[in-house]
Amino acid sequence: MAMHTELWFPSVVWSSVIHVVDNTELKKWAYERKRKDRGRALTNFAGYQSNDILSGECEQIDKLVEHVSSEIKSCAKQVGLPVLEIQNIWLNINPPGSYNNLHDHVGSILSGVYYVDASEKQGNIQFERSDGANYFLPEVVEKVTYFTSGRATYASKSQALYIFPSWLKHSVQGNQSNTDRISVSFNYGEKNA
Amino acid sequence: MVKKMRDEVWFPQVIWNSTIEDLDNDNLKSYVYEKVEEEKINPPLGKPNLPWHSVDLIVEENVEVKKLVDILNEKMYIICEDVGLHPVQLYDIWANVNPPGVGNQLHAHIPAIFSGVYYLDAEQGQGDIVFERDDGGQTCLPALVKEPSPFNQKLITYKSETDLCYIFPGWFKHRVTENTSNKDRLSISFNYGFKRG
Repeated sequence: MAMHTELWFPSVVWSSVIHVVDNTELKKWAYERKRKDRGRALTNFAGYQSNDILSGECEQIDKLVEHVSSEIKSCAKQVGLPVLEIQNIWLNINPPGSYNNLHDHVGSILSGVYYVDASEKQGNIQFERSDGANYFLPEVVEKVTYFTSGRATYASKSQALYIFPSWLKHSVQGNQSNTDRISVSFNYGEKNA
Repeated sequence: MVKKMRDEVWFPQVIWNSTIEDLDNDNLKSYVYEKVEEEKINPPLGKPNLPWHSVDLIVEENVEVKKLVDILNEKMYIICEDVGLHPVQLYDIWANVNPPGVGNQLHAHIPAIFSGVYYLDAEQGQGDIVFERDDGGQTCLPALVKEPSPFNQKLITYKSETDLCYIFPGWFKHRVTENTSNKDRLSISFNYGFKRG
C-alpha cells in the first residue's frame, strides 16, 4: 500500500523584493543615526547595530513598518498564527570584514530583514537547521533536498525582504566587499504579550 | 495589488505512514511472546528490569518477521530515493510489549537515519505515539493558536492501531502515552541507517 508523507514543524522563509522605501533617503538617515547613537553589541562582529528605532523617528522606516506589518499579517494567517505586532526594529551597518554570529530571536514569533544597500558579496544570510539532524545525516548525500539540507542561504541584495520564524537560527556571512552593507531588522510577537 | 511573498519550507520533520496488511499477525504475536518467555528464563546480561518487554527479533527465525523486513526494505528504498539519500539498511528490529499502565518516555533513536513502528496488536487507548518539536519553536510559539497547522504545533499525535506503520527520522523525538486498556499493546520497532564501521 502506498505511503502517505506528512511534513511537520517546517521552518518557512518568506521572501520578496519591495519598492516602498526610498533607500537613498534611508541610507542617509542610517549614517546620521550612527553618528548620534553609539548602538549596541549583540551578534555583530565589527559591525554597527543601532538601538531600537521608534515610530516617527524616520519617515522611511515608518513606511517600511507599514508594509512589513501587512506582510506579517498575511504570513501569520497562512500558518495559523494569531495577529502579531511589531516588537522592535533596528539598523545594521556592516562594514568590510564584519559579520553576525549565529543567533535566533527568542521572545519573538516572526523576524525579518530588509536590505537598504547590499549585494551578495556583502554577507548573505544563512539559516541553520537546529533539530539535531546534522548528527545523523551523512556528510555526502545523493542530492540535497528538504530532508537532507542543513543550511539555507539567502542572498543579501538591496530591496529584498525576508521574513522567518524567530527561532530559526541564522548568521550573516562576512562582508567581502569594500563598502558597507546596510540592512534593517525587525521582530514581531504576540499582540499585548 | 500587492504581490504575495514567496514562501519556502525548510527542515521539516517527516512522517511516512501506511498500512501493512500482508502479515500473519497471530504468528508474529506468538513469536514475540516466545521471545519474551525466553528472555524471562535467560535474561540478557545487563538488561535493565523494565515495566515493559523489549525483545530483539531475529529476521531468519520467523517467516513473518522476514516478510515484514522485506516490506520495510522496499519502503525504505522509495523513501531514500525521495529524500536524496543513498539506500539504507536495517540496523535492528525489536518487539515491544506494553502491558496496561505502561508508556514510553521521550526518546530519539541515535544513530539511526530512519526509525519506525509497526503495530502488531494495538488500538485506541493503548498508547498513541507523540512526536515533539525540538527546533526552538516550542519555546517561541504562542500557547494558543488561531488554527492548528504543521507550522504552529508543538507536538503531533499519531494513533496506534493494528497494521499501521509509521516511519520517521531517527532524530525525531517521540514518546508513547500510557496503555489505559486492560490488555497488552504489541508493536515492532526498527532502525535503518548506513552500513556501520
